[in-house]
Amino acid sequence: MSWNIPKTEDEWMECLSAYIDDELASDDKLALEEYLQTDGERMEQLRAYQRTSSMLQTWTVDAPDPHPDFINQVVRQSDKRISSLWGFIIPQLNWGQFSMGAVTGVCALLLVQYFTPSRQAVIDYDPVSAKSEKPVYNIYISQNQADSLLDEITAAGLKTQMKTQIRNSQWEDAADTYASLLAKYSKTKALQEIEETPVLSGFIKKYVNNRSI
Amino acid sequence: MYVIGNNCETYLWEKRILSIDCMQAIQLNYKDLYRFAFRMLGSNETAVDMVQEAFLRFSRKPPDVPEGEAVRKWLFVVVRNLCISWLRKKTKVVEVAIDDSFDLNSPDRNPAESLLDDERNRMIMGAVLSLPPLMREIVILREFEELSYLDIAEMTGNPVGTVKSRLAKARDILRRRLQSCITEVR
Repeated sequence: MSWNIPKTEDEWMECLSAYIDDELASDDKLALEEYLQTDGERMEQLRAYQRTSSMLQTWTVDAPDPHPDFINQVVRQSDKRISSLWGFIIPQLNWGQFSMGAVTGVCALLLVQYFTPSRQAVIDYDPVSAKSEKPVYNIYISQNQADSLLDEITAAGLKTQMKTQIRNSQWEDAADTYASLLAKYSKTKALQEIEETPVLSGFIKKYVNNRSI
Repeated sequence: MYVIGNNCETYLWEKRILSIDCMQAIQLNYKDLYRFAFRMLGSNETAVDMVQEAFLRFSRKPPDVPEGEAVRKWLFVVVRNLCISWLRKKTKVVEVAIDDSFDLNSPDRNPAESLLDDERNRMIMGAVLSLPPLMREIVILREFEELSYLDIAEMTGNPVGTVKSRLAKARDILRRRLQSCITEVR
């Protein structure tokens, strides 16, 4: 066996602490257990560490839910980053690549605009890739559609959060989430669904409306 | 007009993925990060500030592999660094904001038991917060987050040996400070 009896107090502390955390090699662990049968003082020291560790774990902390305004701020921040990504990509290209890319881009844009009805998303399917594991789809949509899709995603996240808050009886937080949805995502399907769900609409009538009075 | 496809990374595609990443990261990690920050700092308000700052950094510049466990580790490292910097800057003794975290009037708890629990929590919190920050973080990551020595070493940027010795010393200090409380519980 490779285990040597610790010599200093610091070595003993490290050894016993590592034993509690199951960080000793299995041979060392067995050797230590065998030794402890013969040394009552060290055995008591080990038990004291174990009791301290168990006691520490009884310290509970109730964590609050993230505030809806904070979630919005984070999501909006990620939007800003995307806008600036183009500013990062373009300087990486040399003039030849840039010109070729620009010409191709303009041609593609003209073709897409020519073939795409203005308000409808178009799904273009590549038949060659149909048999592969990852078939290729191109979906063409407008900027407005892109923005409303993002709003739908954010609103759906807030709706889930509101449901969780109601389930946990966090009425004030749920009301704040609803207020945030109402203020910023009034045209989304998620808000419409909330108003059509009996439990959620019941909560709004009983709690949110009374609160505003 | 924007094009979404798996051949071209475009505006909406990245925008959508990043938004979902942010929402998911918040959903999965917010509360654990808060608990970690609260145990490090002992203050509800500052813990919330640290966790929010970490998520804002994530939304501005996410890690290279923005997925599951990698995101969690990344966020923990950011919150840890923020807490350590804050503690270094702070000159006065950390005030213990116990009232923010413990509900003395919870209907599910027997009042006598509740008072005992709160008293015990107060003692543990006081003992943990009295440790030097670099020792405290290791105790919290081990006892509450249940990380291995190797993971703690990676997260804190220390060798495993340092983690091992700091944790052992911290345990010994805590054992002495909590001795009276442990005797009562026994």
